[in-house]
Amino acid sequence: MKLIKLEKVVKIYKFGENEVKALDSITVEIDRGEFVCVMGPSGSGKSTFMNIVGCLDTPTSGKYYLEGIDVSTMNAEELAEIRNKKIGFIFQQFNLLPRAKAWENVELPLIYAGINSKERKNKALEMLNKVGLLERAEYFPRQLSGGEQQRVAIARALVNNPSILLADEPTGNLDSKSSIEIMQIFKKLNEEEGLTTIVVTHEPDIAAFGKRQIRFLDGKIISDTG
Amino acid sequence: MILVTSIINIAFRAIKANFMRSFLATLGIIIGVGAVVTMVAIGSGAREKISSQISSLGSNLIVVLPGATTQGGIRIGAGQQTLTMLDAEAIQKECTNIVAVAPAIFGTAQVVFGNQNWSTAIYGTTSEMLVVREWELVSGRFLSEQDIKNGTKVAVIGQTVSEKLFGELDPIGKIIRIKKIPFEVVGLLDKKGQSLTGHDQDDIIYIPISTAQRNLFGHILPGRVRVIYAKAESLESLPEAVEQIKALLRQRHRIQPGQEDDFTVMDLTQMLKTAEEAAKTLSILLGTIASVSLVVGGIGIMNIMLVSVTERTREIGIRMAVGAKPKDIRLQFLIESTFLTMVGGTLGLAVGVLASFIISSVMDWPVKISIFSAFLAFGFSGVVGVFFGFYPAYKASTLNPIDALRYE
Ligand SMILES: Nc1ncnc2c1ncn2[C@@H]1O[C@H](COP(=O)(O)OP(=O)(O)OP(=O)(O)O)[C@@H](O)[C@H]1O
Ligand SMILES: [Mg+2]
Repeated sequence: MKLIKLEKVVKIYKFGENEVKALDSITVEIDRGEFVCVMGPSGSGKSTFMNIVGCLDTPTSGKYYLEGIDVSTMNAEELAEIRNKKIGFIFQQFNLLPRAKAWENVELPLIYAGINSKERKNKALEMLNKVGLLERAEYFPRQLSGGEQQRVAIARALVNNPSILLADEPTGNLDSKSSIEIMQIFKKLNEEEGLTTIVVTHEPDIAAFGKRQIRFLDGKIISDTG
Repeated sequence: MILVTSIINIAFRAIKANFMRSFLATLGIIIGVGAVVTMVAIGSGAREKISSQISSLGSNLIVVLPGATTQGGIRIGAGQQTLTMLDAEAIQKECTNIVAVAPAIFGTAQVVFGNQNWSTAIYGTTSEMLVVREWELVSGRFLSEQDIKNGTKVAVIGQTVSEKLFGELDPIGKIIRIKKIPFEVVGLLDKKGQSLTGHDQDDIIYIPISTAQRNLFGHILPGRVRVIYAKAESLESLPEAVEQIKALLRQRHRIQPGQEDDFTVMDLTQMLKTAEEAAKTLSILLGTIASVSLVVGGIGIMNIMLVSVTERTREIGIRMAVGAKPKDIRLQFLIESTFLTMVGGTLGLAVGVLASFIISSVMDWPVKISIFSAFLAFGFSGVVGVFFGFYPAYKASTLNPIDALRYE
């Protein structure tokens, strides 16, 4: 059984009269331990794909099986639970809570997993240590550099032991040095812990970190090295 | 299961982060609860005052006055001297529901002691008056039957008179002059306070009715009285006692059927009971009006919560992305609004108690803070918090995580 299996997934956005077919019958399988890079021009459907894989959104039609379970028909409560337990999402804009300290941002998924506060803090600090930011635990996001903020976001994505790590242009707002650092963290996690990782990127040298490249165009997969 | 304490923590931090705005939102509730507590305190105070009137008047008191009372309540022929001592005696003897009767004549006169002088109400009455009015003596004795029979020049004085004439001195045994006639003070009455109409009941002197007629109020025909106080056995027997007195007096005054009474019988206790009911209605009315301001305060909270939801759309998106369920988000905002209204309720309670005391001391209005109204206001503000917090909380919980994350 594959970790991720999409069958003829279609996503249509409607606004007024207009319809946009952001995903046009995508069928793809991704296995445990893969490191996939998703590429393609702007508007080709990469983010839409990631959102559906990350259970932030549901397909208009088609099926999505995560660990063999059909999640394409789940309701908001069930999807929230999947996101909490199985998915670690990383965004281009970091999406940290500005008024929460680094470790408080990291513990966020654990709050909704019902973990008590002592254990939460321990785990959060452990994750910050893993991304090399233990000494920044008490900092607020605005006191951190872009690269550091993204590492906090990675720690948050990892804290509840997800099955998949999803990153939508994680280096889009970073300089090349920080970008490499971030990608090296992903690579290490994938190689040492076998964490399934999907990264969206525009840059070929970032995409080179992946073991498999999927290319999108107009909502379709036009090439797949896997 | 998500830990509720964690959610409470999140809600508190949000309030702290927007302290000024939270406080302003709470202000509506503070004013609303404050108004309810104050208004109910004013209403209850009025009731309390009337109740104490009833007991200070003497319970189950009936007052008989000369002259008829028309439907409109206007007394005609009040100056007529249609009531007599013998009427009073007859009421005492024949009306089975009456336990005591005290006739009286009265007027105002100048009273002098040493170089102090004071104008006060002089009542000539009988020894029964003390029982009828349920009045206590602080010292000395009341008028005796002997005093009435012999027309002795003795006086029993009220607290106000004692203060004005004697100050700190003990009035018992002192000689005062009423219209220049010397009287010995034999008794000092206990304090009764103000009557319903606001006049000072302690500004009074009782002397024997015979003495009053002979020496002070010569214009009143001998044997005539200006008022008869009668005390009924019980509250229940009051209406019957009133009817008995009316029938007796009509018979004694030879009033033909169809002819008007030449006297008026007033059941003051009943009147006060009616006034008490009116005050109760007043306090309910005031409370209701104040409740409206509480609702308005609740709408203020809702307004702020809606702004807060919009402003924190991105935060909601982040929380949802990492696994917050719609019900977790709902709970967070509900706790926030309920906490705000509860704090508002507590502060409002304090404001209401303070305002009540200020009103009672500045405007000299009796106020009574009821525990019940306090709890009601507090509980109600909690309900307002949940009720007006629900819509914004619901709105937040139905946000789509992607749209929420994209929100700028
Ligand atoms: N919420 C939405 N409403 C309407 N149309 C949308 C919405 N989200 C995406 N689209 C449309 O769907 C298409 C695919 O968008 P998507 O964000 O997946 O592209 P992308 O490959 O991630 O592009 P980029 O590289 O610029 O991030 C685009 O044409 C876009 O306009
Ligand atoms: Mg995109």
